[in-house]
Amino acid sequence: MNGLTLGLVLAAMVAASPASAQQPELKKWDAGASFGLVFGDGWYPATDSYGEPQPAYHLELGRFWNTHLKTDTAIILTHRHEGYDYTTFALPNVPGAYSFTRHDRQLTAVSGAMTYQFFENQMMHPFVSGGLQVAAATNHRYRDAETYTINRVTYTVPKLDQRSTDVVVRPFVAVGAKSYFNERTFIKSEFSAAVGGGGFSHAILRLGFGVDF
Amino acid sequence: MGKVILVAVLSALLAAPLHAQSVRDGEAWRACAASVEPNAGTKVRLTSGKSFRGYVVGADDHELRVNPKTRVAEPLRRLAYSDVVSIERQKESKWNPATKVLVGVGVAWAVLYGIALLAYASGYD
Repeated sequence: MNGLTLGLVLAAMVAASPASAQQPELKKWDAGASFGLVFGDGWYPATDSYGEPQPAYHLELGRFWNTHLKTDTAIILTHRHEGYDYTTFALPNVPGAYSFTRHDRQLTAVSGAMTYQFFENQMMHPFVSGGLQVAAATNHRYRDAETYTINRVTYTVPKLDQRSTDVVVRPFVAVGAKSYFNERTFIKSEFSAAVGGGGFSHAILRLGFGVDF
Repeated sequence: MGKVILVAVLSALLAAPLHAQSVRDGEAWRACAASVEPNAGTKVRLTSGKSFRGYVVGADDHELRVNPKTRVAEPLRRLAYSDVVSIERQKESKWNPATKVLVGVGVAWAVLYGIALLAYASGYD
């Protein structure tokens, strides 16, 4: 019986060796870091837009399930954005009453996506991707108590110190390419667009380096 | 029985030109492969409908040996001449795709930065 078992194992090894030799060993994981620009401020639905793109950094990890299909996860970090909100309000006998409020916004997000990568074992792989971004958008609005005078009417705006954190979920789709320097090291270029309740939310254009392992 | 023989004869008669065509093509590709210098970049198209890029590393009377151009090395492909539809010479790019992307992004950034500088400078004229 032992002889039979040994024979079967040897036969299996002999049969398996040539087959495995035919297929290259492609790495199952990839990781990377990238710099990008965020266009649109759909992550902050309750605030005004200034229009300018904001920098964003991605740290990402991917797991291949076969030569085409991959799961991607990423952490998205942004700079703190400081600015002013200009607010007008109605006061008796004061046309055009206004105040300025400072705000500091910062966003940290995680994303998960399924990616389909075209071609097999090539130096460049275009891909399409779709998933969800879940962001924690913090907003700190503050101002000192200030007194304004308009048309000889004086009014005082009270001090404000308001902090809020919104959790925002945005579905997104992305297209891009992994372009390789060599067997394992690549540049990843990607354009993604996310939607919110009111339609387009934001887009991210980014470029980064990564490695397969 | 007579019908079976008739069908067999007709099939053989119809298949014969195809076989002859295949043999002639095979001879043509054998001659073509013999003229390709070693390690030449090529694109090979097969009768199966598949095609791939690679480097011709050898050819004899029976088979063409091509080293496939892949990111991770794969074993040599041994091709029967009768399986070959076409062999095209390919020029090799000196830059890998990642370098091309970097250069492209660099040029685009330089152009945009240059336009912004020009616009900024013209604002002070």
